[in-house]
Amino acid sequence: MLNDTWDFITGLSAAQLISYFWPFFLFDLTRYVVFDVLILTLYLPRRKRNKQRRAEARKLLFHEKPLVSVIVPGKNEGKHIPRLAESLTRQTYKKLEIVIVDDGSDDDTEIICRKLHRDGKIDQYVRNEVRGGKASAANTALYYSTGKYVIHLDADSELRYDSIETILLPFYMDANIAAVGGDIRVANLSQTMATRTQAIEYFKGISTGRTVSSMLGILRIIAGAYGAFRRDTLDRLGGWDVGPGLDGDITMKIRKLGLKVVHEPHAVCYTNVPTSFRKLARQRFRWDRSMVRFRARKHVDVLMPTSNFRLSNFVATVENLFYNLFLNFKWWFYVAQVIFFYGALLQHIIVVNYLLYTLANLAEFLVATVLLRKTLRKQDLLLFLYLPLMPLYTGLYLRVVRTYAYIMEFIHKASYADRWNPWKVSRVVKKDGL
Amino acid sequence: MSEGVLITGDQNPLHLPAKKATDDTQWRSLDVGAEADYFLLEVSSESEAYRIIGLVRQKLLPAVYLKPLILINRGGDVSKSLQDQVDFVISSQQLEQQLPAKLLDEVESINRRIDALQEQRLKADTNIALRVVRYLYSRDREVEPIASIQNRGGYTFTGIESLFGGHDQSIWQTLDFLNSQHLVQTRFVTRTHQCASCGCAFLNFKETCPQCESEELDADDLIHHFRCGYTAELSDFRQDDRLVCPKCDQTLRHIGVDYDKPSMMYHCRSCDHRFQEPEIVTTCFDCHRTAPPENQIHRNIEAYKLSMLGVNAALYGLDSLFASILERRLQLLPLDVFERFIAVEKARIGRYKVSHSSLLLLDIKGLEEIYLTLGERTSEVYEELANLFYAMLRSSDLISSRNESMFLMLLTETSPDDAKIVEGRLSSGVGELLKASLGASPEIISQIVNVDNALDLTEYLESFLSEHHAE
Ligand SMILES: [Zn+2]
Ligand SMILES: [Zn+2]
Ligand SMILES: [Zn+2]
Repeated sequence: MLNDTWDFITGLSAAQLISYFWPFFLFDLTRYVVFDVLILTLYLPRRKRNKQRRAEARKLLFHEKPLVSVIVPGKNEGKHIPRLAESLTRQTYKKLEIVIVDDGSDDDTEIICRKLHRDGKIDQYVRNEVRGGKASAANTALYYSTGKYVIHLDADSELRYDSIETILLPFYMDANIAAVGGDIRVANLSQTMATRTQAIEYFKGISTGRTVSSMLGILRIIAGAYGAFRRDTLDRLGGWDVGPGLDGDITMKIRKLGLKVVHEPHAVCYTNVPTSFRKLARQRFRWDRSMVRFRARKHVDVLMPTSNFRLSNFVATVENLFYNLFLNFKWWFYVAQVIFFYGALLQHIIVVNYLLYTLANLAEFLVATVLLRKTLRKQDLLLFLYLPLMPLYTGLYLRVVRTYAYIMEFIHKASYADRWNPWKVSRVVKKDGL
Repeated sequence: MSEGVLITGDQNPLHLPAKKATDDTQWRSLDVGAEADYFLLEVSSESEAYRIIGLVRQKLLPAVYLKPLILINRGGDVSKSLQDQVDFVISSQQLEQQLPAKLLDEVESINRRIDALQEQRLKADTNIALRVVRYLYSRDREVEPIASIQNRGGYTFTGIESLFGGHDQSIWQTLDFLNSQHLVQTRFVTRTHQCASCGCAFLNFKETCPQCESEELDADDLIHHFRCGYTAELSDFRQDDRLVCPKCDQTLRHIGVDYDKPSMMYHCRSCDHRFQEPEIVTTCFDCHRTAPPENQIHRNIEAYKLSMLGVNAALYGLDSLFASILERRLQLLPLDVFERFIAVEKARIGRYKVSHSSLLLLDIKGLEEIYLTLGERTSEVYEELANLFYAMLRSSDLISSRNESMFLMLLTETSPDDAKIVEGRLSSGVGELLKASLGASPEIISQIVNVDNALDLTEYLESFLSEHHAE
């Protein structure tokens, strides 16, 4: 059978290659190649050239020593806070203020945090008896923090020892930068197959993908798990708007002010990801729906030629809509095409696609390794053993979840009933068409 | 047929037809008015009324201190507290005619109960706990706590207050003791915080800054505007008399519909600290000590009525009544009997003029409150005390007690000089014994009086009491 496939491959003409495997060659390959080439030829040399500037920025940062607020909004996150507070004391940048907002927790969070506050391990603890949702919690934290820079951090994440210093440097290299995204890595990568595949996905999507988007000026999301903002900018915006997807939303609003948003691949934040494919599906369902809502509904104005039109915002949105929405539906079109027209070649086409995508994943992984090398750990490198799983993960699993989410969002406006926001908020937002 | 004694506040008592009257001077006598059915109180002021009620209720004979009290109201309001301390209030018009039959019935029923208490009509009650038990029995009622700013404990038991002659701490202690002996049943009424240092219930509860202890705090509500997610303190939303969101410029309309108040924040004006949980402290209005509320006394305020055990104790005496221990061991004489022996001895000495006898008085201050410290161990201490007396006295000596802490000894054929030796041994022995039990020796006052014609025991005791027990 493998011989048959080999014969099939060697017998392919260029035209056949395109018509059998057009999604790979026309879309994914270009993207991979473009990304990899850009990283290798533009980003890395530029970073090398910027070494001197970074050193100066570092000098400026430590000379000025601004107060940096680390804000941690969340519900029932108390169990993570003692470890988080402890780990923040080991940062190379020390002038931190930790502000915890407890969004109506119904566990021991209050007891734990009140004690930490009394003991001076955290600087401020605000408990909202009534849950107000993520945006309100983040805004409460913003209101009670005083730092010049505000770092939004998830309670269950852990920062590399030099992470805060690193995420602040871009502010001192370009005065137009108003927000910096941190590089999210998977903390529990060795736990299950689901966490390993997600770890590889994060390397590609967040580390490589966002570095390239950032370089091209089209970065569209600063992860809520770890992002740094200038306070003046957040104050101008009145903080976060009602989510879900409030991370992407605030990034977009900052861009609309004409300010820059960048990704810093060496500012590392480890986070725990869902340990089973079932839990992962639920998480992605939420993320994907919010993508539709914020790109296609709320910020559809960036596509209109109005006064504050900016090409980069336009491109950022189009690129996002195109890759996520269009490519997703294109994939189902391709499946239908193969089954109806090339049914006899089905097994060969599957095998070849699998090989192509495995190779592409390998190439991407190598590029990510070069990009992140100084921040990688041994277990990160060992992930390459699991690369052959990736075509199944991204090609099948994620596509099914994503398609379902998009359809649901378009049909039902389902995200307004999201359990991440209390009903009182969703109801008002839905009524006002926000 | 029923007859009352009129007591007036004046020095010159007013006489009413067919009724005896008394005044303060006559009041000295042990059994004044014991035969009357009730006392009528005619006074010009409430304070006068309290003074006289006090005089009655501090007497020793049940027939006197438990006597039904009828207050004559000459117009105006009678305070709740005073009403609670007497049994009836009547108007002067009512007095002119016949007393109402219903009132006389009740007087009758109280007197029946008092009679039941007295096996010997003239036996004196000296133990305050027993007196309370007997009062509750004779009135067949519950004694209720009454909130009062006059009382440091915040509550008083006006019904029994006059039995105590003005120390409210001992009311609490006595009621606690009765409760610990299951002589009373309690009914929960409320709860108070009391100062741990001085027992005062008047505490100022204050919110303070957990960082600098300042009391100068501001508090503001946090507001969450639903549609835009903006969250800030109320003052940031205030515009004239409306609330307007500083982020989206919308006017807030209805709490719960378009906004809510998820929490509250305190701000310390002296150190700028912001916090949600102020430290609560309490400062005593009396002794000015400050402590967190959990370090103050938190006590239940209850109403008390006699239990079956209590009824039993009222009729047959407190089992743990310490005098009974002394009585058994030393043949402690009732005071009136002792008084008669003194009279006999006085006559004998007067007639023969050859020998001396001495009266030794030993007053152990605060001994009646020893059970408040020792509880059930008190009887052991009394047992030892009795042994001590027994060892010191000769069989020809007589002993009695005025109350549980004041002992009277007739040392026959003993000159005042010899009596001094006995006195010294007794008071040092008692002192050592109590010091070993209580950890501190109580104040002991002793006096020696030569028994002769000049001695009037009642007068002597009254003057001793007014000299040493004046409050
Ligand atoms: Zn608003
Ligand atoms: Zn303060
Ligand atoms: Zn006090």
